[in-house]
Amino acid sequence: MAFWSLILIILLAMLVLGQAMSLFGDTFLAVADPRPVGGKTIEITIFAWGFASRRGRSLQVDDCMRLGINDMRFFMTKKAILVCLVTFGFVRTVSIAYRCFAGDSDVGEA
Amino acid sequence: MARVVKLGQQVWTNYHKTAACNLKDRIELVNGEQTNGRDYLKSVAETVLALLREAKQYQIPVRPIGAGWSPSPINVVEDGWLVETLRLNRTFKLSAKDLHDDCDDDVESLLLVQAGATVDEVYESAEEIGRSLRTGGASNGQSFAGACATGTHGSVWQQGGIQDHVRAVQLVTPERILWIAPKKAVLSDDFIAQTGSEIIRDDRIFAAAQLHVGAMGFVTAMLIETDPIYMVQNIQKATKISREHIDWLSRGEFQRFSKEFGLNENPYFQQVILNPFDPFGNNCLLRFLYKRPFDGSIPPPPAGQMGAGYDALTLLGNLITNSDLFKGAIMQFAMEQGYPDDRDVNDPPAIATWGNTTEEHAPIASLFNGSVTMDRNKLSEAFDLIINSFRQGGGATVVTIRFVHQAEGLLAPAHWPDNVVIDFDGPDVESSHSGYKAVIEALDDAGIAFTRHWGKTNNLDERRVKRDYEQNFADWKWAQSQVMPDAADRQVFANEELVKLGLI
Repeated sequence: MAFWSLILIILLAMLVLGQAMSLFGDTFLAVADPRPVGGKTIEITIFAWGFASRRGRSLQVDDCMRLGINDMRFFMTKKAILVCLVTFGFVRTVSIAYRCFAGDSDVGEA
Repeated sequence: MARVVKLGQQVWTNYHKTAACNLKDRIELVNGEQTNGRDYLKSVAETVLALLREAKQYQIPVRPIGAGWSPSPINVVEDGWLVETLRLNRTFKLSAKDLHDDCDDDVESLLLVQAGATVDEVYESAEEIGRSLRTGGASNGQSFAGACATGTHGSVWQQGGIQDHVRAVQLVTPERILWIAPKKAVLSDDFIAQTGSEIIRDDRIFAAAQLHVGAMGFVTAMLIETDPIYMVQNIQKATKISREHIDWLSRGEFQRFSKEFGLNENPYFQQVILNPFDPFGNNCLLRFLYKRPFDGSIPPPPAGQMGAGYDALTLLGNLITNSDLFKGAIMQFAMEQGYPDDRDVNDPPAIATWGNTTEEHAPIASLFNGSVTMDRNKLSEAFDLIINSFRQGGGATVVTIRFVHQAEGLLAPAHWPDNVVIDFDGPDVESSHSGYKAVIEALDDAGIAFTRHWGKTNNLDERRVKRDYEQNFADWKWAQSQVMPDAADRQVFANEELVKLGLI
């Protein structure tokens, strides 16, 4: 019995560790031929595994001068990962670092 | 006038997250709607002039900034205005009537570049009009003006720094809008007047403005010279070299080295990346570029095919280790992981334009990079000293060896007829700093003259800058005083680092 309990504990520990490590992985999305400028990092918190209200889960970017977003990096901070694990995923805060698109013009006439 | 967007008081961190500052205001400059290039230049310069006058009146330090790429703290300003130029990213071609009668240049070779255009944008603009640049740095996300200001270079051994492309500089001080050019005129007086500028035609002042380290005013535009478009064939491989091969490189026997590991011809570009823990026992990473005529039927390479492995910062971005255990092995693994294995001599040729030799850059972790530049003929004598002292000092970064011809600009670090640049790129941990310091001390103790990159970690101060550049430093200071005779004007561009370097 003790042996199987130990195996179960090890399995659960590995599951938690695996989840934590997977949350460290970040992703990056950029337009082809990027022209990055400025930008900042915003945080979005998802409650109750996404069952909670949509409000607050989508934000707007208003500082890109109508030229759109150049690139975005999605990641979780160490603190957010810890909170996510402790709350069994009930509170999940995702960080989105974005940069704006600076514009891309053809060569003009002097 | 150009648009001035005030983003407010904030903490700002540079691109590589190596320096930060508390800003009184972060200000973005944005092009207005204009009909032609000269109007764009005039409106931006007048906007900058107004900003600088206000800054001078209220004694607010101003730091013009492109991408904020330099890891050294020359791009931060405490309690001042950071004025960003990345949205000033237009390029323009000239017509023959815009050139001075004394100018022998082919008008098609010249390109007018706004201060915020990145290296990548300038490469693209040049290719759009059937031209190429001659050299460039390892990355392409920094502003072209910023790269020139710090003397960025690549490893094209018959060319100098990126600033060698510059034929004239438009810069703004709190009192004046200037075009600074060599004595032999390039731009016509009419064109200069139409950009709202005065002209200074002086070889010494121009040589100072080519590489100004951000201490001669606010650059708003540059006139650059390009070559007819060409392509390069890329050979990259991980292989073992011997100590003797370093001697070949020290003597400039590039074709001999290339014949051994690449093609039997003179490479246009030649670079070696080594693991300092066992440079000859482990594979090192070689890169050769061979010049080829332009062939429009060759499609641009997919992302990453040409550029991989050149940007050592990216190469080691994921190598974050403070452990002494297996340091050499981890480094070797990381080095080879980042390098393509299908660019060898017998692989299908990878040919592309010069603009495709660098990759887009994604923000990565805080990194260390430092370098020393010295007479290439000293490489053989200094190599073991550098590697041993770096390792003994705790250094844990890859060592990259690059080659540069004498570069233009009074403050160009590559000021020997032929130069070797030894780069240390890796994680920003104490051991990287201590290893680099050990190299500096060892070279000084051995009496081997060297200089350091303005944009990288360099531990320089005024005394050392004076010693390294001697008369060129005095000439540079003279040129600065011609452009900004009033000390109060120079103070507008002061930050802690530039004051420490004795440049303001």
